[in-house]
Amino acid sequence: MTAMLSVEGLHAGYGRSSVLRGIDLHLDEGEAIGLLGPNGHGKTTLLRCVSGLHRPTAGDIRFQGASLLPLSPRAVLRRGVVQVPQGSRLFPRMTVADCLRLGGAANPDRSARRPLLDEVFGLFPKLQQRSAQLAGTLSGGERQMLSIGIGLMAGPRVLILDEPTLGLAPKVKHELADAIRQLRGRLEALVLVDGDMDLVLRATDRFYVVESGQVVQTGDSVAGADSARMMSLFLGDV
Amino acid sequence: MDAFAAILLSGLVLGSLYGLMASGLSLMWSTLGVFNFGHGVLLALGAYFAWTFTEQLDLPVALAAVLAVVVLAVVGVVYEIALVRPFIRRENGAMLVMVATLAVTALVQSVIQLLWGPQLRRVPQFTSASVSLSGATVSGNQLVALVAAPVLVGALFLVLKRSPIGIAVRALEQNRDHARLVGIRPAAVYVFVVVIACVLAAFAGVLLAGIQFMTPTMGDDPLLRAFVVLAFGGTASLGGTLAGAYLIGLLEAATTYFFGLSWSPVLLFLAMIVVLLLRPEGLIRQRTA
Ligand SMILES: Nc1ncnc2c1ncn2[C@@H]1O[C@H](COP(=O)(O)OP(=O)(O)OP(=O)(O)O)[C@@H](O)[C@H]1O
Ligand SMILES: [Mg+2]
Repeated sequence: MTAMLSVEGLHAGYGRSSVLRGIDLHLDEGEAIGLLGPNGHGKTTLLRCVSGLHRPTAGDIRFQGASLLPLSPRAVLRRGVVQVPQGSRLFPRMTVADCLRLGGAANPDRSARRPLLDEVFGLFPKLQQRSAQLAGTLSGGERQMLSIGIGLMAGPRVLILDEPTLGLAPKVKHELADAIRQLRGRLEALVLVDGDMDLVLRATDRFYVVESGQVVQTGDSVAGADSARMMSLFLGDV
Repeated sequence: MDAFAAILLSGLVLGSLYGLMASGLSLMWSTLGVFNFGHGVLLALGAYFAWTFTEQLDLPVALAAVLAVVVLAVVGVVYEIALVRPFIRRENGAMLVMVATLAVTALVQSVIQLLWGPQLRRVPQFTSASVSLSGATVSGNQLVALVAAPVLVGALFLVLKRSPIGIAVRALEQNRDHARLVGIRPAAVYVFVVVIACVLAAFAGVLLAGIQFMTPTMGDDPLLRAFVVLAFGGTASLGGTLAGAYLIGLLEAATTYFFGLSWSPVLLFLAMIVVLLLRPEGLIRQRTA
Protein backbone atom coordinates (compact mmCIF):
# COMPACT_ATOMS: atom_id res chain seq x y z
CA MET A 1 0.00 0.00 0.00
CA THR A 2 1.40 3.38 -0.91
CA ALA A 3 1.41 6.08 1.73
CA MET A 4 -0.89 9.08 1.41
CA LEU A 5 2.00 11.47 1.92
CA SER A 6 5.64 10.53 1.77
CA VAL A 7 8.92 12.37 2.09
CA GLU A 8 11.88 10.66 0.50
CA GLY A 9 15.50 11.55 1.06
CA LEU A 10 14.72 15.24 1.38
CA HIS A 11 17.58 17.74 1.47
CA ALA A 12 17.04 21.48 1.86
CA GLY A 13 18.80 24.54 3.19
CA TYR A 14 19.13 28.28 3.10
CA GLY A 15 21.97 29.58 0.97
CA ARG A 16 24.98 27.52 1.93
CA SER A 17 23.73 26.17 5.21
CA SER A 18 22.06 22.80 4.83
CA VAL A 19 19.18 22.19 7.20
CA LEU A 20 17.56 18.95 6.03
CA ARG A 21 19.93 16.06 5.35
CA GLY A 22 17.93 13.22 3.92
CA ILE A 23 14.56 13.07 5.68
CA ASP A 24 12.37 10.02 5.12
CA LEU A 25 8.89 9.73 6.52
CA HIS A 26 5.40 8.75 5.52
CA LEU A 27 1.82 9.30 6.52
CA ASP A 28 -0.92 6.78 5.78
CA GLU A 29 -4.56 7.48 5.23
CA GLY A 30 -6.45 7.81 8.48
CA GLU A 31 -3.27 8.35 10.40
CA ALA A 32 -1.87 11.10 12.61
CA ILE A 33 1.85 11.52 12.96
CA GLY A 34 3.86 13.78 15.22
CA LEU A 35 7.21 15.44 14.62
CA LEU A 36 9.36 16.00 17.66
CA GLY A 37 12.81 17.38 18.10
CA PRO A 38 14.81 20.25 19.46
CA ASN A 39 14.37 23.82 18.22
CA GLY A 40 16.02 24.86 15.01
CA HIS A 41 16.57 21.39 13.64
CA GLY A 42 14.47 21.70 10.52
CA LYS A 43 10.86 20.77 11.31
CA THR A 44 9.41 24.00 9.95
CA THR A 45 11.73 23.87 6.95
CA LEU A 46 10.42 20.40 6.16
CA LEU A 47 6.82 21.58 6.35
CA ARG A 48 7.56 24.61 4.18
CA CYS A 49 8.93 22.25 1.55
CA VAL A 50 5.74 20.17 1.70
CA SER A 51 3.58 23.25 1.08
CA GLY A 52 5.73 24.56 -1.75
CA LEU A 53 7.00 27.59 0.13
CA HIS A 54 10.58 26.36 0.05
CA ARG A 55 12.43 24.44 -2.67
CA PRO A 56 14.33 21.37 -1.51
CA THR A 57 17.71 20.67 -3.11
CA ALA A 58 17.20 16.91 -3.39
CA GLY A 59 14.68 14.21 -2.66
CA ASP A 60 10.96 14.07 -3.25
CA ILE A 61 7.64 14.70 -1.57
CA ARG A 62 4.71 12.66 -2.88
CA PHE A 63 1.03 12.95 -2.19
CA GLN A 64 -1.13 10.04 -3.34
CA GLY A 65 1.64 8.90 -5.61
CA ALA A 66 2.32 12.22 -7.38
CA SER A 67 5.19 14.55 -6.59
CA LEU A 68 4.28 17.85 -4.94
CA LEU A 69 7.61 19.45 -5.77
CA PRO A 70 6.67 21.10 -9.07
CA LEU A 71 3.50 22.57 -7.55
CA SER A 72 2.80 26.08 -6.30
CA PRO A 73 1.55 26.52 -2.73
CA ARG A 74 -1.91 27.09 -4.18
CA ALA A 75 -1.84 23.81 -6.12
CA VAL A 76 -0.64 21.91 -3.05
CA LEU A 77 -3.47 23.47 -1.06
CA ARG A 78 -6.04 22.53 -3.66
CA ARG A 79 -4.98 18.90 -3.44
CA GLY A 80 -5.97 19.06 0.19
CA VAL A 81 -2.58 19.42 1.86
CA VAL A 82 -3.20 22.33 4.20
CA GLN A 83 -0.69 23.89 6.55
CA VAL A 84 -1.23 26.06 9.62
CA PRO A 85 2.11 27.83 9.88
CA GLN A 86 4.16 28.37 13.02
CA GLY A 87 3.60 31.62 14.90
CA SER A 88 1.67 33.40 12.16
CA ARG A 89 0.79 37.03 12.80
CA LEU A 90 -2.15 36.28 10.54
CA PHE A 91 -3.62 39.22 8.66
CA PRO A 92 -3.60 41.77 11.45
CA ARG A 93 -5.79 44.41 9.79
CA MET A 94 -8.48 42.03 8.60
CA THR A 95 -11.43 40.90 10.67
CA VAL A 96 -11.75 37.35 11.95
CA ALA A 97 -14.65 36.83 9.53
CA ASP A 98 -12.58 38.06 6.56
CA CYS A 99 -9.68 35.82 7.56
CA LEU A 100 -11.97 32.78 7.62
CA ARG A 101 -13.48 33.76 4.28
CA LEU A 102 -9.98 33.99 2.90
CA GLY A 103 -9.28 30.48 4.18
CA GLY A 104 -12.35 29.20 2.37
CA ALA A 105 -11.67 31.08 -0.85
CA ALA A 106 -9.32 28.44 -2.22
CA ASN A 107 -11.64 25.58 -1.32
CA PRO A 108 -12.74 24.16 -4.67
CA ASP A 109 -15.99 22.96 -3.09
CA ARG A 110 -18.01 26.13 -2.61
CA SER A 111 -20.96 24.39 -1.02
CA ALA A 112 -18.68 23.15 1.75
CA ARG A 113 -17.89 26.65 3.01
CA ARG A 114 -20.96 27.14 5.16
CA PRO A 115 -20.76 23.77 6.96
CA LEU A 116 -17.01 24.25 7.42
CA LEU A 117 -17.60 27.63 9.01
CA ASP A 118 -20.13 26.08 11.38
CA GLU A 119 -17.60 23.40 12.20
CA VAL A 120 -14.91 25.98 12.94
CA PHE A 121 -17.27 27.96 15.17
CA GLY A 122 -18.32 24.74 16.88
CA LEU A 123 -14.70 23.92 17.60
CA PHE A 124 -13.76 27.45 18.64
CA PRO A 125 -16.87 29.35 19.85
CA LYS A 126 -14.63 32.31 20.70
CA LEU A 127 -14.05 32.95 17.03
CA GLN A 128 -17.75 33.40 16.43
CA GLN A 129 -18.01 35.93 19.27
CA ARG A 130 -15.06 37.81 17.85
CA SER A 131 -15.82 37.59 14.16
CA ALA A 132 -15.95 41.37 13.69
CA GLN A 133 -12.69 41.93 15.58
CA LEU A 134 -9.40 42.62 13.79
CA ALA A 135 -7.06 39.64 13.79
CA GLY A 136 -4.20 41.82 15.01
CA THR A 137 -6.04 42.47 18.27
CA LEU A 138 -6.59 38.81 19.18
CA SER A 139 -4.78 37.14 22.08
CA GLY A 140 -2.12 34.55 21.32
CA GLY A 141 -4.49 31.66 21.91
CA GLU A 142 -7.28 33.17 19.83
CA ARG A 143 -4.81 33.81 17.04
CA GLN A 144 -3.84 30.13 17.03
CA MET A 145 -7.51 29.18 16.92
CA LEU A 146 -8.10 31.50 13.99
CA SER A 147 -5.02 30.14 12.25
CA ILE A 148 -6.36 26.60 12.58
CA GLY A 149 -9.83 27.80 11.57
CA ILE A 150 -8.39 29.32 8.38
CA GLY A 151 -6.74 26.00 7.60
CA LEU A 152 -9.95 24.05 8.21
CA MET A 153 -11.90 26.34 5.86
CA ALA A 154 -9.78 25.04 2.99
CA GLY A 155 -11.25 21.58 3.54
CA PRO A 156 -8.03 19.71 4.33
CA ARG A 157 -7.40 16.06 3.57
CA VAL A 158 -4.12 16.35 5.43
CA LEU A 159 -3.87 19.07 8.05
CA ILE A 160 -0.38 20.13 9.09
CA LEU A 161 -0.10 22.00 12.37
CA ASP A 162 3.23 23.67 13.10
CA GLU A 163 3.65 24.45 16.82
CA PRO A 164 0.00 25.24 17.58
CA THR A 165 0.58 25.64 21.31
CA LEU A 166 3.88 27.52 21.22
CA GLY A 167 4.06 30.21 23.88
CA LEU A 168 0.55 29.72 25.24
CA ALA A 169 -0.48 29.69 28.90
CA PRO A 170 -1.42 26.24 30.30
CA LYS A 171 -5.18 26.88 30.29
CA VAL A 172 -5.33 27.97 26.66
CA LYS A 173 -2.95 25.21 25.77
CA HIS A 174 -5.37 22.62 27.16
CA GLU A 175 -8.21 24.17 25.21
CA LEU A 176 -6.22 23.87 22.00
CA ALA A 177 -5.03 20.39 22.84
CA ASP A 178 -8.66 19.32 23.25
CA ALA A 179 -9.56 20.87 19.92
CA ILE A 180 -6.66 19.11 18.21
CA ARG A 181 -7.69 15.75 19.61
CA GLN A 182 -11.25 16.37 18.39
CA LEU A 183 -9.88 17.22 14.95
CA ARG A 184 -7.86 14.04 14.94
CA GLY A 185 -11.10 12.05 14.78
CA ARG A 186 -12.60 14.09 11.95
CA LEU A 187 -9.73 14.52 9.55
CA GLU A 188 -8.37 12.00 7.09
CA ALA A 189 -4.83 12.65 8.23
CA LEU A 190 -2.92 14.94 10.55
CA VAL A 191 0.69 16.05 10.96
CA LEU A 192 1.41 17.66 14.30
CA VAL A 193 4.59 19.45 15.26
CA ASP A 194 4.74 20.74 18.79
CA GLY A 195 7.18 21.33 21.58
CA ASP A 196 4.73 19.73 24.00
CA MET A 197 5.77 16.11 23.69
CA ASP A 198 2.92 14.93 25.83
CA LEU A 199 0.35 16.53 23.55
CA VAL A 200 2.03 15.16 20.43
CA LEU A 201 2.20 11.63 21.76
CA ARG A 202 -1.40 11.67 22.92
CA ALA A 203 -2.83 13.14 19.72
CA THR A 204 -0.95 11.00 17.19
CA ASP A 205 -0.47 7.36 16.18
CA ARG A 206 3.21 7.49 15.36
CA PHE A 207 6.02 9.95 15.88
CA TYR A 208 9.31 10.91 14.30
CA VAL A 209 12.14 12.65 16.07
CA VAL A 210 13.99 15.08 13.80
CA GLU A 211 17.46 16.12 14.79
CA SER A 212 20.04 17.93 12.68
CA GLY A 213 17.83 17.50 9.64
CA GLN A 214 17.48 13.76 9.94
CA VAL A 215 14.99 11.34 11.44
CA VAL A 216 16.87 9.90 14.40
CA GLN A 217 14.04 7.94 15.91
CA THR A 218 10.54 6.83 15.08
CA GLY A 219 7.94 4.79 16.89
CA ASP A 220 4.47 4.18 18.11
CA SER A 221 3.06 7.15 20.01
CA VAL A 222 1.32 5.07 22.68
CA ALA A 223 4.48 3.11 23.31
CA GLY A 224 6.41 6.35 23.17
CA ALA A 225 4.25 7.95 25.81
CA ASP A 226 4.90 5.04 28.14
CA SER A 227 8.54 4.79 27.43
CA ALA A 228 10.80 6.03 30.15
CA ARG A 229 13.61 6.06 27.66
CA MET A 230 11.68 8.59 25.55
CA MET A 231 10.98 10.69 28.57
CA SER A 232 14.60 10.93 29.51
CA LEU A 233 15.50 11.61 25.89
CA PHE A 234 13.27 14.67 25.90
CA LEU A 235 13.84 15.82 29.41
CA GLY A 236 17.43 16.14 28.29
CA ASP A 237 16.29 18.72 25.77
CA VAL A 238 13.97 20.79 27.92
CA MET B 1 -12.46 85.70 -9.31
CA ASP B 2 -11.00 86.29 -5.90
CA ALA B 3 -7.65 84.88 -4.88
CA PHE B 4 -8.99 82.46 -2.33
CA ALA B 5 -11.45 80.83 -4.74
CA ALA B 6 -8.76 80.62 -7.42
CA ILE B 7 -6.27 78.95 -5.09
CA LEU B 8 -8.87 76.58 -3.73
CA LEU B 9 -10.03 75.55 -7.18
CA SER B 10 -6.63 75.02 -8.71
CA GLY B 11 -5.39 73.33 -5.54
CA LEU B 12 -8.24 70.84 -5.48
CA VAL B 13 -7.89 70.10 -9.20
CA LEU B 14 -4.17 69.49 -8.83
CA GLY B 15 -4.90 67.45 -5.73
CA SER B 16 -7.36 65.30 -7.69
CA LEU B 17 -4.80 64.55 -10.39
CA TYR B 18 -2.11 63.81 -7.82
CA GLY B 19 -4.56 61.66 -5.89
CA LEU B 20 -5.25 59.50 -8.96
CA MET B 21 -1.51 59.09 -9.50
CA ALA B 22 -0.66 58.56 -5.85
CA SER B 23 -3.31 55.90 -5.17
CA GLY B 24 -1.80 53.64 -7.79
CA LEU B 25 1.73 54.38 -6.63
CA SER B 26 0.77 53.74 -3.05
CA LEU B 27 -0.90 50.42 -3.92
CA MET B 28 2.21 49.30 -5.80
CA TRP B 29 4.40 50.43 -2.94
CA SER B 30 2.48 48.54 -0.29
CA THR B 31 2.14 45.29 -2.23
CA LEU B 32 5.32 45.17 -4.32
CA GLY B 33 7.54 47.28 -2.11
CA VAL B 34 8.46 49.22 -5.23
CA PHE B 35 8.28 52.87 -6.21
CA ASN B 36 7.11 52.92 -9.79
CA PHE B 37 9.24 55.48 -11.61
CA GLY B 38 7.34 54.64 -14.79
CA HIS B 39 4.14 56.12 -13.46
CA GLY B 40 4.66 59.46 -15.16
CA VAL B 41 5.21 58.02 -18.58
CA LEU B 42 2.15 55.81 -18.15
CA LEU B 43 0.16 58.97 -17.60
CA ALA B 44 1.63 60.43 -20.79
CA LEU B 45 0.89 57.26 -22.72
CA GLY B 46 -2.76 57.43 -21.63
CA ALA B 47 -2.94 61.01 -22.85
CA TYR B 48 -1.36 60.25 -26.25
CA PHE B 49 -3.67 57.31 -26.88
CA ALA B 50 -6.67 59.46 -26.00
CA TRP B 51 -5.39 62.09 -28.45
CA THR B 52 -5.15 59.49 -31.21
CA PHE B 53 -8.65 58.28 -30.50
CA THR B 54 -10.19 61.76 -30.52
CA GLU B 55 -8.17 63.51 -33.21
CA GLN B 56 -7.35 60.68 -35.60
CA LEU B 57 -10.31 58.37 -35.15
CA ASP B 58 -12.70 61.21 -34.42
CA LEU B 59 -14.23 59.57 -31.39
CA PRO B 60 -15.97 61.55 -28.66
CA VAL B 61 -13.68 62.41 -25.74
CA ALA B 62 -15.44 60.24 -23.19
CA LEU B 63 -15.18 57.18 -25.44
CA ALA B 64 -11.56 58.01 -26.27
CA ALA B 65 -10.81 58.24 -22.58
CA VAL B 66 -12.38 54.85 -21.91
CA LEU B 67 -10.43 53.30 -24.81
CA ALA B 68 -7.19 54.88 -23.62
CA VAL B 69 -7.81 53.48 -20.17
CA VAL B 70 -8.45 50.03 -21.65
CA VAL B 71 -5.25 50.22 -23.71
CA LEU B 72 -3.32 51.18 -20.60
CA ALA B 73 -4.84 48.27 -18.70
CA VAL B 74 -3.32 45.99 -21.34
CA VAL B 75 -0.06 47.92 -21.06
CA GLY B 76 -0.28 47.24 -17.32
CA VAL B 77 -0.33 43.48 -17.89
CA VAL B 78 2.72 43.73 -20.15
CA TYR B 79 4.40 46.05 -17.66
CA GLU B 80 3.97 43.52 -14.86
CA ILE B 81 5.14 40.59 -16.96
CA ALA B 82 8.14 42.40 -18.42
CA LEU B 83 9.32 44.65 -15.59
CA VAL B 84 8.07 43.25 -12.32
CA ARG B 85 7.79 39.48 -12.58
CA PRO B 86 11.33 38.67 -13.77
CA PHE B 87 12.95 40.63 -10.95
CA ILE B 88 10.74 40.92 -7.90
CA ARG B 89 11.59 37.58 -6.28
CA ARG B 90 15.32 37.97 -6.77
CA GLU B 91 17.66 39.12 -4.09
CA ASN B 92 17.39 42.90 -4.07
CA GLY B 93 14.37 42.48 -6.34
CA ALA B 94 12.62 45.73 -5.44
CA MET B 95 15.71 47.68 -6.47
CA LEU B 96 15.92 45.80 -9.77
CA VAL B 97 12.27 46.53 -10.52
CA MET B 98 12.75 50.21 -9.78
CA VAL B 99 15.73 50.38 -12.13
CA ALA B 100 13.65 48.62 -14.76
CA THR B 101 10.84 51.14 -14.39
CA LEU B 102 13.35 53.98 -14.71
CA ALA B 103 14.76 52.45 -17.87
CA VAL B 104 11.35 51.96 -19.41
CA THR B 105 10.50 55.58 -18.69
CA ALA B 106 13.33 56.82 -20.85
CA LEU B 107 12.49 54.25 -23.51
CA VAL B 108 8.77 55.00 -23.71
CA GLN B 109 9.36 58.76 -23.72
CA SER B 110 11.53 58.35 -26.81
CA VAL B 111 9.00 56.06 -28.43
CA ILE B 112 6.24 58.61 -27.83
CA GLN B 113 8.41 61.27 -29.43
CA LEU B 114 9.00 59.01 -32.45
CA LEU B 115 5.43 57.87 -32.90
CA TRP B 116 3.52 61.05 -32.17
CA GLY B 117 6.13 63.66 -33.08
CA PRO B 118 7.18 66.80 -31.30
CA GLN B 119 4.12 69.00 -31.99
CA LEU B 120 2.30 70.43 -29.02
CA ARG B 121 -1.13 68.88 -28.77
CA ARG B 122 -4.10 68.80 -26.49
CA VAL B 123 -6.97 66.43 -25.94
CA PRO B 124 -10.32 68.20 -26.08
CA GLN B 125 -12.04 68.77 -22.76
CA PHE B 126 -14.68 66.30 -21.65
CA THR B 127 -17.26 69.02 -21.90
CA SER B 128 -17.10 72.61 -23.03
CA ALA B 129 -19.54 73.52 -20.29
CA SER B 130 -18.15 75.43 -17.38
CA VAL B 131 -19.52 76.28 -14.00
CA SER B 132 -19.11 79.46 -12.04
CA LEU B 133 -18.46 78.94 -8.36
CA SER B 134 -18.14 82.00 -6.11
CA GLY B 135 -16.31 83.95 -8.77
CA ALA B 136 -14.06 81.12 -10.01
CA THR B 137 -14.78 79.50 -13.35
CA VAL B 138 -14.50 75.74 -13.33
CA SER B 139 -13.80 74.21 -16.72
CA GLY B 140 -15.22 70.90 -17.87
CA ASN B 141 -12.09 68.87 -17.19
CA GLN B 142 -11.56 70.50 -13.84
CA LEU B 143 -15.06 69.53 -12.89
CA VAL B 144 -14.55 65.96 -14.09
CA ALA B 145 -11.27 65.77 -12.15
CA LEU B 146 -12.89 67.09 -8.98
CA VAL B 147 -15.62 64.47 -9.14
CA ALA B 148 -13.64 61.56 -10.58
CA ALA B 149 -10.80 61.49 -8.04
CA PRO B 150 -12.89 60.82 -4.94
CA VAL B 151 -15.27 58.54 -6.88
CA LEU B 152 -12.53 56.38 -8.40
CA VAL B 153 -10.42 56.26 -5.26
CA GLY B 154 -13.56 55.47 -3.27
CA ALA B 155 -14.41 52.67 -5.69
CA LEU B 156 -10.89 51.31 -5.32
CA PHE B 157 -11.31 51.44 -1.55
CA LEU B 158 -14.48 49.35 -1.79
CA VAL B 159 -12.86 46.86 -4.16
CA LEU B 160 -9.97 46.40 -1.72
CA LYS B 161 -12.33 46.12 1.19
CA ARG B 162 -14.89 43.71 -0.21
CA SER B 163 -13.99 41.91 -3.42
CA PRO B 164 -12.08 38.62 -3.39
CA ILE B 165 -9.16 40.09 -5.34
CA GLY B 166 -9.10 43.10 -3.00
CA ILE B 167 -8.97 40.86 0.04
CA ALA B 168 -6.15 38.92 -1.65
CA VAL B 169 -4.23 42.18 -2.16
CA ARG B 170 -4.56 43.08 1.50
CA ALA B 171 -3.70 39.57 2.66
CA LEU B 172 -0.53 39.50 0.58
CA GLU B 173 0.41 42.92 1.89
CA GLN B 174 -0.09 41.87 5.50
CA ASN B 175 1.45 38.40 5.54
CA ARG B 176 3.05 37.05 2.41
CA ASP B 177 3.76 33.50 3.54
CA HIS B 178 0.41 32.90 5.14
CA ALA B 179 -1.31 34.45 2.11
CA ARG B 180 0.44 31.92 -0.12
CA LEU B 181 -0.61 29.11 2.24
CA VAL B 182 -4.26 30.08 1.76
CA GLY B 183 -3.79 29.85 -1.99
CA ILE B 184 -3.19 33.45 -3.00
CA ARG B 185 -1.03 33.73 -6.11
CA PRO B 186 1.28 36.72 -5.71
CA ALA B 187 1.66 37.00 -9.48
CA ALA B 188 -2.09 37.46 -9.96
CA VAL B 189 -2.20 40.10 -7.25
CA TYR B 190 0.73 41.93 -8.83
CA VAL B 191 -0.95 42.02 -12.23
CA PHE B 192 -4.12 43.38 -10.66
CA VAL B 193 -2.26 46.07 -8.74
CA VAL B 194 -0.20 47.22 -11.72
CA VAL B 195 -3.26 47.30 -13.99
CA ILE B 196 -5.19 49.42 -11.49
CA ALA B 197 -2.24 51.78 -11.16
CA CYS B 198 -1.98 52.11 -14.96
CA VAL B 199 -5.69 52.71 -15.36
CA LEU B 200 -5.71 55.52 -12.79
CA ALA B 201 -2.58 57.10 -14.27
CA ALA B 202 -4.05 56.95 -17.78
CA PHE B 203 -7.22 58.66 -16.67
CA ALA B 204 -5.21 61.39 -14.94
CA GLY B 205 -3.29 61.76 -18.20
CA VAL B 206 -6.42 62.26 -20.29
CA LEU B 207 -7.62 64.93 -17.85
CA LEU B 208 -4.27 66.67 -17.72
CA ALA B 209 -4.00 66.68 -21.52
CA GLY B 210 -7.19 68.74 -21.66
CA ILE B 211 -5.80 71.27 -19.23
CA GLN B 212 -2.25 71.70 -20.54
CA PHE B 213 -0.22 70.76 -23.64
CA MET B 214 0.99 67.22 -23.99
CA THR B 215 4.67 66.27 -24.00
CA PRO B 216 6.34 62.90 -23.45
CA THR B 217 7.52 64.22 -20.09
CA MET B 218 4.17 65.64 -19.04
CA GLY B 219 3.97 63.03 -16.29
CA ASP B 220 7.22 64.01 -14.59
CA ASP B 221 5.81 66.79 -12.43
CA PRO B 222 2.72 64.88 -11.32
CA LEU B 223 4.97 61.88 -10.56
CA LEU B 224 7.20 63.95 -8.30
CA ARG B 225 4.19 65.48 -6.57
CA ALA B 226 2.60 62.07 -6.12
CA PHE B 227 5.86 60.95 -4.56
CA VAL B 228 5.56 63.82 -2.08
CA VAL B 229 1.97 62.75 -1.46
CA LEU B 230 3.18 59.31 -0.41
CA ALA B 231 5.42 61.00 2.12
CA PHE B 232 2.60 63.21 3.38
CA GLY B 233 -0.25 60.75 3.33
CA GLY B 234 1.68 57.63 4.11
CA THR B 235 1.16 54.58 1.98
CA ALA B 236 -1.03 52.91 4.53
CA SER B 237 -4.52 54.07 3.60
CA LEU B 238 -6.15 55.34 0.46
CA GLY B 239 -7.97 57.95 2.51
CA GLY B 240 -4.63 59.22 3.76
CA THR B 241 -3.24 59.21 0.26
CA LEU B 242 -6.14 61.25 -1.11
CA ALA B 243 -6.01 63.69 1.81
CA GLY B 244 -2.28 64.08 1.24
CA ALA B 245 -2.92 64.73 -2.46
CA TYR B 246 -5.35 67.57 -1.74
CA LEU B 247 -2.93 69.02 0.79
CA ILE B 248 -0.07 69.04 -1.73
CA GLY B 249 -2.33 70.45 -4.43
CA LEU B 250 -3.47 73.28 -2.18
CA LEU B 251 0.06 73.95 -0.99
CA GLU B 252 1.28 74.07 -4.55
CA ALA B 253 -1.54 76.37 -5.66
CA ALA B 254 -0.98 78.71 -2.72
CA THR B 255 2.80 78.88 -3.05
CA THR B 256 2.50 79.37 -6.80
CA TYR B 257 0.05 82.19 -6.28
CA PHE B 258 2.10 83.99 -3.65
CA PHE B 259 5.70 83.15 -4.59
CA GLY B 260 5.54 82.23 -8.26
CA LEU B 261 6.06 79.07 -10.29
CA SER B 262 9.78 78.77 -9.62
CA TRP B 263 9.57 78.95 -5.83
CA SER B 264 6.61 76.66 -5.41
CA PRO B 265 8.51 73.35 -5.86
CA VAL B 266 11.26 74.53 -3.52
CA LEU B 267 8.75 75.15 -0.75
CA LEU B 268 6.92 71.94 -1.50
CA PHE B 269 10.02 69.79 -1.19
CA LEU B 270 11.13 71.65 1.90
CA ALA B 271 7.77 70.86 3.43
CA MET B 272 8.25 67.24 2.51
CA ILE B 273 11.61 67.07 4.23
CA VAL B 274 10.16 68.62 7.36
CA VAL B 275 7.31 66.11 7.37
CA LEU B 276 9.72 63.22 6.91
CA LEU B 277 11.82 64.49 9.80
CA LEU B 278 8.83 64.81 12.11
CA ARG B 279 6.71 61.89 10.93
CA PRO B 280 8.78 59.26 9.10
CA GLU B 281 5.60 57.25 8.47
CA GLY B 282 3.75 60.13 6.86
CA LEU B 283 0.87 61.95 8.45
CA ILE B 284 -1.50 59.02 8.54
CA ARG B 285 -0.65 55.43 9.39
CA GLN B 286 -2.15 52.01 9.04
CA ARG B 287 -4.08 50.80 6.06
CA THR B 288 -7.65 50.23 7.09
CA ALA B 289 -8.63 48.91 3.69
N1 LIG C 1 14.58 32.01 6.08
C1 LIG C 1 15.69 31.44 6.62
N2 LIG C 1 16.91 31.84 6.23
C2 LIG C 1 18.02 31.30 6.78
N3 LIG C 1 18.00 30.34 7.71
C3 LIG C 1 16.81 29.90 8.13
C4 LIG C 1 15.59 30.42 7.62
N4 LIG C 1 14.57 29.79 8.23
C5 LIG C 1 15.13 28.90 9.07
N5 LIG C 1 16.46 28.96 9.02
C6 LIG C 1 17.40 28.13 9.81
O1 LIG C 1 17.15 26.79 9.53
C7 LIG C 1 17.29 25.99 10.69
C8 LIG C 1 16.04 25.16 10.90
O2 LIG C 1 14.95 26.02 11.18
P1 LIG C 1 13.47 25.50 11.33
O3 LIG C 1 12.61 26.66 11.54
O4 LIG C 1 13.17 24.60 10.20
O5 LIG C 1 13.59 24.64 12.65
P2 LIG C 1 12.44 24.08 13.60
O6 LIG C 1 12.83 22.68 13.88
O7 LIG C 1 11.12 24.32 13.03
O8 LIG C 1 12.63 24.96 14.90
P3 LIG C 1 11.55 25.42 16.00
O9 LIG C 1 11.27 24.22 16.86
O10 LIG C 1 12.23 26.50 16.75
O11 LIG C 1 10.35 25.89 15.26
C9 LIG C 1 17.57 26.95 11.83
O12 LIG C 1 18.95 26.91 12.10
C10 LIG C 1 17.17 28.29 11.30
O13 LIG C 1 17.97 29.30 11.83
MG1 LIG D 1 9.49 25.33 13.65
